[in-house]
Amino acid sequence: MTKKWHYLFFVFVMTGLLVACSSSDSASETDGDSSNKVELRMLWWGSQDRHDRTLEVIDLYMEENPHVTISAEFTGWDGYWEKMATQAAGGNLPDIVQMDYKYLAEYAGKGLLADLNPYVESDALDLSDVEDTYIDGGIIDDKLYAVNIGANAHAIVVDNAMFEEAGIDPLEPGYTWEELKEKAKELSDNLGDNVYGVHPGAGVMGFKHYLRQHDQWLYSEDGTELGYDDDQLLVDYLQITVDMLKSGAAAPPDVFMTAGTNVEQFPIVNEETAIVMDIHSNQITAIESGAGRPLDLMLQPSLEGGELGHYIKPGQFFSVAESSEQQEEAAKFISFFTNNIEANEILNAERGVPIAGAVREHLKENASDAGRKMFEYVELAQEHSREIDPPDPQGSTEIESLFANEVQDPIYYGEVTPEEAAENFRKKASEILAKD
Amino acid sequence: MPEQADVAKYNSKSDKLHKQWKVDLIGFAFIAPWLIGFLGFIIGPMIASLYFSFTNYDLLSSPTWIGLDNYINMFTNDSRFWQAIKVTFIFVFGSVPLKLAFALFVAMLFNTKRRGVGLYRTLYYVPSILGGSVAIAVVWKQLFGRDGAINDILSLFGIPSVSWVTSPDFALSTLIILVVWQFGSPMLIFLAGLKAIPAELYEAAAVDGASPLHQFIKITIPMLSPVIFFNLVMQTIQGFMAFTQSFLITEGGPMDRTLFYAVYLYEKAFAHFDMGYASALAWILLLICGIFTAFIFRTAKSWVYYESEGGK
Repeated sequence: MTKKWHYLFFVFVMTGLLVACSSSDSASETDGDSSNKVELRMLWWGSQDRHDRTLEVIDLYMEENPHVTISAEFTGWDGYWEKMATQAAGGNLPDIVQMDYKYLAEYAGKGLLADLNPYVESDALDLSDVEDTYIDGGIIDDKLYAVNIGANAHAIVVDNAMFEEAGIDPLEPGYTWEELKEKAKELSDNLGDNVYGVHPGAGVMGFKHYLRQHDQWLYSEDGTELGYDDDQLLVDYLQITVDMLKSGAAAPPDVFMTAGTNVEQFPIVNEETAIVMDIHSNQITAIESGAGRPLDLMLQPSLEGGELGHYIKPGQFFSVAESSEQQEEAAKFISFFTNNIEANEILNAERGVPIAGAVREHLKENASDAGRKMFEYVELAQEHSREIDPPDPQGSTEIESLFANEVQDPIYYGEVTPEEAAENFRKKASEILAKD
Repeated sequence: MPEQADVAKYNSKSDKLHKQWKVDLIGFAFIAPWLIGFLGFIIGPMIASLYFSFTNYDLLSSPTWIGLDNYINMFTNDSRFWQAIKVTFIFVFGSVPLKLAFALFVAMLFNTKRRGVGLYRTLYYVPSILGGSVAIAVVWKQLFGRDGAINDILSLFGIPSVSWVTSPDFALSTLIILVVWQFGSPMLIFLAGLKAIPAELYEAAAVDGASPLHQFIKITIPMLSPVIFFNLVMQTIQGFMAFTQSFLITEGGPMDRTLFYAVYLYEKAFAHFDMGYASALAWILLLICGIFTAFIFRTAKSWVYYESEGGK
């Protein structure tokens, strides 16, 4: 009989070994041994271009700080938050994570992010060259949970050469929604077949801007209901797109839906539209390189007698995980990323306008055309900006897919009227917000 | 089992038992890796997901018990759930019969003794090997895109371009065509089944003057029915679980017209971090697959013919 137990024991030992082997590489032991080695993990999202630049900066940092090793993890935007949530659930968030304004409140609220104020005080994180406008977005309840690593602004893209070809004066800051409608119509009429004035936007991004112009916000202060009371606001906003689709000023959905969110495939790239609504200013680089011809950024249409809709958006942040045992070292790297001129030459403002004054000045002088346009545009937007609204509440991702599926797309395809869409949106959005 | 011979040498019962134990144990030792994988990676997560389905769980904080709320919400208060059910049913009922018919048709063509038939078989099987893959989805998106090859071909005949993938009317049909085109694995199974049908049955029928169509209905279909049955069950289950095509090509859009159940489940879990609700959705999907499989098994008695049962 003892033989049997021998066998069983053998099996258990072997499998125990297997399990142990496969799970040991994630926990790196750093208990202050003499060599003082630091190992950091870092996670971000972005395009291939961003990965290359960021990896180069990491190498630069490791050269200057030989005792530090940084291992990088990166993905595209799709899949990023799945990955991060899974890591958070497993208690092994990387030391440094790229963070978005949309998710900041959620992660900070669950105690997953470290307060960086102590490191600012100890000078590990040097923000002396950064204006408050750029820091504020990362502060919740007086705690600094995230450092902005690139500012951008809501924008539209225009092809001024196409305006000229159609014999139409370009849009100037301060132009109105009415003017947009008229000019887009003229562009459609004066340019060839299958060329349209505008690639329309009836999405949540544009609607938020429209609400700001009415001094309202999509969410209530406590985030448990919608922040605007009058459905007419949404109806009017959607009506703009409906009118433009009807008059032929806007391209029909068949033309622009295929591209989805992939800016390199937008119809403006093939000169099929002269205007694109609702992009972020740092996307100009990608759109322009896709198009292979000069394009320009322009402000959103303004509302006569309305408030300023624009704000300077922290395009993305770096946060440090609360679970990290190397918070100070992580803060030092973020400081380097923010202030080091050489590093920022490599990064080349691909994440948006850098927040440190000296870096910004230096890059503006040496920027490529697209880069310079972005810098100048963000300055212009800043003149037309007022303070940013609080981060979106929990459940906002669900609200956004609701808006895309039951408001934006059906409006493009003419399947619902603005009134129906507005009513339906209020009903379902209220339910989603109430339960979170 | 060579051990059996050794076992025979022992006369006393206890010795025999002891020996038998040893043999069993060796068997267990050999399947242990699989067994541990099965317990750890299949049964374990299933139990966990059953528990999560009764909770509100967002991955970042601990689950809170809410009883049947997820299930109640799903059936009473979630229009997208019903949309996903509708789309998935249209997809399954549209694609599975077409796919099987097509697979059988191609298998019949290949069931000949022509030269080079092996090469063609391989060629036609290739799309299925690439079946669930991302690459095929991307190719499909290009083919059926606004400036894709399909529209170019249609324009030769003067048919106006259609935006297949982004049009609310055509998007789902485009995905159905894609999975029908991936008919390779049922085709191979049909082919094996066809090869197993004795040639003398056809010869006898031909002597009696039965037309090819008649032979097909009276011989091929009944003799093939176990294989049809197997394919039907497998393809139906696969159809309910379809994910890649919709996720990559249409992202469930436009306007949820291609919102496969699995895509909705994924969105709930990983876009909205509603893990509890997604787990509940997963269990309902298991239930749906179970009901359909059981139903097909129930009806099998009346149309599946097994030679071993003396042909009922």
